[in-house]
Amino acid sequence: MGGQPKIEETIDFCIRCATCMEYCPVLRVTDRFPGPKQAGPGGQRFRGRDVFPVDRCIDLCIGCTICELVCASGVDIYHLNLMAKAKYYDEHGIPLRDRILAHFNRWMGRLPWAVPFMNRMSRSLFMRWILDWLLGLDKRRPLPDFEVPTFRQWLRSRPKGLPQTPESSANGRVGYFYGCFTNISEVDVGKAVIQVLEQNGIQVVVPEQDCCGLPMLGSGDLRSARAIARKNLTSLKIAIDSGIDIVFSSSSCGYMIRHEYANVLGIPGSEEVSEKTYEIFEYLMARHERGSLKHPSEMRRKLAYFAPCHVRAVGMGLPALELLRLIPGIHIELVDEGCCGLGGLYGYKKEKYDISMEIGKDLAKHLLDLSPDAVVTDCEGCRLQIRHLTGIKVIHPIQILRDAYLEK
Amino acid sequence: MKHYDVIVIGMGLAGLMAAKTAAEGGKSVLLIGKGIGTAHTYTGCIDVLGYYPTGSSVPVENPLTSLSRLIEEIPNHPYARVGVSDIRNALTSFLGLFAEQDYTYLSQGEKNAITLTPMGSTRATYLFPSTMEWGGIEDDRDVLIVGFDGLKDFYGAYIAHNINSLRKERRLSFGARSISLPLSELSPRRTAPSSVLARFFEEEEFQDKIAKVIHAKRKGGERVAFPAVLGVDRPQEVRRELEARLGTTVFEIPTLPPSVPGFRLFHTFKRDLQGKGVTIIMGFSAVAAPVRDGRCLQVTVTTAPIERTYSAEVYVLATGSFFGGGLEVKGDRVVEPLFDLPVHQPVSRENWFRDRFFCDESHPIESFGIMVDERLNPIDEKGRVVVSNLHGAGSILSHCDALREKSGGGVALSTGYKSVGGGMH
Repeated sequence: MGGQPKIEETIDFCIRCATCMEYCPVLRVTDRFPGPKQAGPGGQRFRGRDVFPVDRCIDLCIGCTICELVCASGVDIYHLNLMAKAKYYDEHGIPLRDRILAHFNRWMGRLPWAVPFMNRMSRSLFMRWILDWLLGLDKRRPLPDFEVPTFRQWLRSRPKGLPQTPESSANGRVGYFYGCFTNISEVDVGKAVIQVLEQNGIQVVVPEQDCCGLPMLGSGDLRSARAIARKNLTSLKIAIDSGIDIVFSSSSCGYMIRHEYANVLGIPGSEEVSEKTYEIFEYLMARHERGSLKHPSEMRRKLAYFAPCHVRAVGMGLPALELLRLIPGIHIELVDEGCCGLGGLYGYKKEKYDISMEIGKDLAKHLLDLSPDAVVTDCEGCRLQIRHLTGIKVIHPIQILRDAYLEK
Repeated sequence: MKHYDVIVIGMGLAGLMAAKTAAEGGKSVLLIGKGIGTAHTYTGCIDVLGYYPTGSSVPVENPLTSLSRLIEEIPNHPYARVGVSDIRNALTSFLGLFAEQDYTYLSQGEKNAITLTPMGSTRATYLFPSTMEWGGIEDDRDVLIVGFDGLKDFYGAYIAHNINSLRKERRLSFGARSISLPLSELSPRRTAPSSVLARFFEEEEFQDKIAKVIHAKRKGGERVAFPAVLGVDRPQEVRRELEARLGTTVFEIPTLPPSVPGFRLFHTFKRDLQGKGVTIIMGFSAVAAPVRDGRCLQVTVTTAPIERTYSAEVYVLATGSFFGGGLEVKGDRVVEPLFDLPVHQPVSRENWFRDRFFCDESHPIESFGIMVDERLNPIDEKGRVVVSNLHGAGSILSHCDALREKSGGGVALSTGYKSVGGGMH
């Protein structure tokens, strides 16, 4: 990071203006969390010396990154809290539930035969009651449906020699990091990415990949996150060395790979991968600016776009919104309500479910007032939360673009 | 590299105003901010010229007329670069943001208003939020100040004490007393930052509860002052609802930072900019801006570990002063870190401050900053333009002691407006 100060060093930049306290979604709904200023730069002064244990309130940080984005003084508030959380779990051990949850989606990706069983289990009230009681997995939170064939299976089943679009692979190749959730629960998002790229004459290759590691990082399990990151980096580097860029469709996976492999895990060489990794709409927008993006056809839809925290955290503006607005006939309202409240696994945990729902209340009200045909958002977590909060149809922006390309 | 018509660096009041003005002129705009900008640390009032000559303790009566004198006496002042008519235009344009809103900004005609501070002292300001309407000192009704146990940034008893001291000195014609309401009995929380309390105020049940408590303790003829937390989205309505419940006038006194009126101001701007299609990137610093042949080529923004570059026809530098990071101290010199522009400052560091820290006159350091010409292009000591497609705006500009003059808001709005050619058409 060159001249950048280390995360712990940034506490001295804090001028106690408390702007972060105005924007923390957790502090907004509960005073059990002392807020980012207190928990971050405030608490860090004591954590530096090994004698003081980390206070358990750190566990309530949802990890949205908003505090760090609003800070005008350059304090790495979110990262201070993330590291404190890791230290807290070092001192107390990571709960079994959190370990299971953090690895669950990647396990499911490897056991597609277990999908029907899992789906039945997650719909059974009795099982949900057991899981709630035994593990602290809140029974009120619907579990996502798993799909077979998985995205990986679907890829393998595609006839070789693709793409077969008229443009063929005239515009080069790109690597796709799809992420666990696309693989097992939203296969259509992955299909849409491939279809959109192929419509633009770009051949898609899919490098070997595991979970990005963000769920482990969020659970304070730095060791697992680092091991997984190393694995991904090795295969992504091979792809990049063959001369291609990598795109991601999940803003959270992308944030993890592009930023946190270097910033938090400090894995040497990860910067080379960061340099060549793009969010899918950022990638398409760059093509549009060069005049080489296929024009979408007209599509009359009334949509609401919600910008996930991790889209803001990669600092690229809102390319999905910009690009979708190029579709003739489309009307998209930007909904700017901060964090949706799910926080990845946070909202599944029994002791945090109420906080999660309370955070999402304003967003839900805003969306219900708008009552769009669909809500569009780049993060799977936000999609799950908004579906649960509102019952409105929620999709990834790439699915809209795909429809605009392919619908008659 | 993505190209825009205008790139604005800095998300404080000056940067927001520059972005708005450029977008209104039909330009594509990128607004970059290291953080959310400093609006949250001010009262939310727009000072234009509170005290002049600089260091005077007597408030300026009519700021816009006094500006002509300032412009004559300090020809390098940012106001002198903008000129009175564009200062007026900028303020009108700012007020336009609130044209369709219930919550708006008011002034006492063309005069400064003297308002109460969270210390119980008084200060002159020009535009103030409509929720502070009845907080002026001309009103001689006594004030009941309502604070909250659990709100750390507002001390009613302290404010009342100081108001009463000023009254004894015959500098105020009204007295004050305070009550502190226990937050834990009125809400599910023991403590709340001001923005959270502001949300409670939008709930009818909360209003009912506090009105009941206050009503029991209120004396006839008193007006009631609250910390500036009367709602986030519909503060003017909240004020009216409280007035109906209490049967008297209600107003807000600013709190210590962070400021809810500043929050409202920022979000009014943000909604406007988003509606005009302005791209906003918040949370990341501009770290490099190479200049060739007197023109800025691009701006590099760091999103660690990688960097991104953006280019534009016109750049606006509104990165603030020392607080915002627009100016930095490097050894014995004050520097502008992004472009390394010439900074107006004395030769020796010994002359940065006066001997006494708490003196009436300006400390020289307060008017350090980049020097600009009448187009707000940065210039060197000899008046030569340094970067021709760059304009400075806000508190980074030299020859202005906004703290003593109480001119920060007006300077930010008018230079932000002028920096992108506002008023040129």
